[in-house]
Amino acid sequence: MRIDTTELRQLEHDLGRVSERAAEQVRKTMQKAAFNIKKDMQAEAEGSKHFPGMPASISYETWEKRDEIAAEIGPEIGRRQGSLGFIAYEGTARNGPRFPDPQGALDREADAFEAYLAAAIAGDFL
Amino acid sequence: MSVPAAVLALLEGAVTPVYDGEVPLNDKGRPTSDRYAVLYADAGTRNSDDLPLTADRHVYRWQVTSVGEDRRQAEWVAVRCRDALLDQPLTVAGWELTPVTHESSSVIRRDDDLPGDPLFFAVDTYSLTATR
Repeated sequence: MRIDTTELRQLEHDLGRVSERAAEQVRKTMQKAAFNIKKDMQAEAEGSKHFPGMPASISYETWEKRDEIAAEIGPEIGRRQGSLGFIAYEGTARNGPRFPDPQGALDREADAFEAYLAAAIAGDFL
Repeated sequence: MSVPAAVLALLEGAVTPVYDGEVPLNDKGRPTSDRYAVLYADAGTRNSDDLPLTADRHVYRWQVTSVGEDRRQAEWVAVRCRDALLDQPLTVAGWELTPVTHESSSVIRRDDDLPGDPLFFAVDTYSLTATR
């Protein structure tokens, strides 16, 4: 799942490197978006007879590389029923997925994420 | 014709059989065919944040599960379905549709939880936006 921030990164490139203050805002924005998507996915996974442990298995993790901040959100192997995530979200040869495609949760967060990200970067130059 | 029905029709032109959301099983609980595709489609979603712009804009997502008796056959079904969905524009009367986007493709997995020999399956997800 990806949110396309190409234009924002181009803006950043055009304006020069962002300051540490803006970078911190971007970090916070990513954390908040990942948290919101996690909560959304947990809500969608509630009430399953076959996967009662799935909501609690959904977690998120963010990390940074030199010029990248990324997040991974979904069922976590090691948590109860976390290793069954691929069955719950993709199904099997006989059964379909039990929960909605997580892309929906990502899309619902995309507009707010992009707006806050733009504010974090643009705000640095005002 | 609805968008999911149009998707189903395209898939039916690519492989046989294609099932719509439910796999027929024999009395032992095994699928009646060892090679097939299954369409799992939603009914479309709307975003009400910007009602004037989105009232007639729907996002459709669907999953195609491609099944075969070995990995190669499951892959063959998946590729046939993918080509059918991407090689030609989907059309539904009264709607303007974006091209189909291939959102994701999973590794081919083995399903041992079946009576008899295992089956192999691939999962692909797609989406498009429909406006009227």
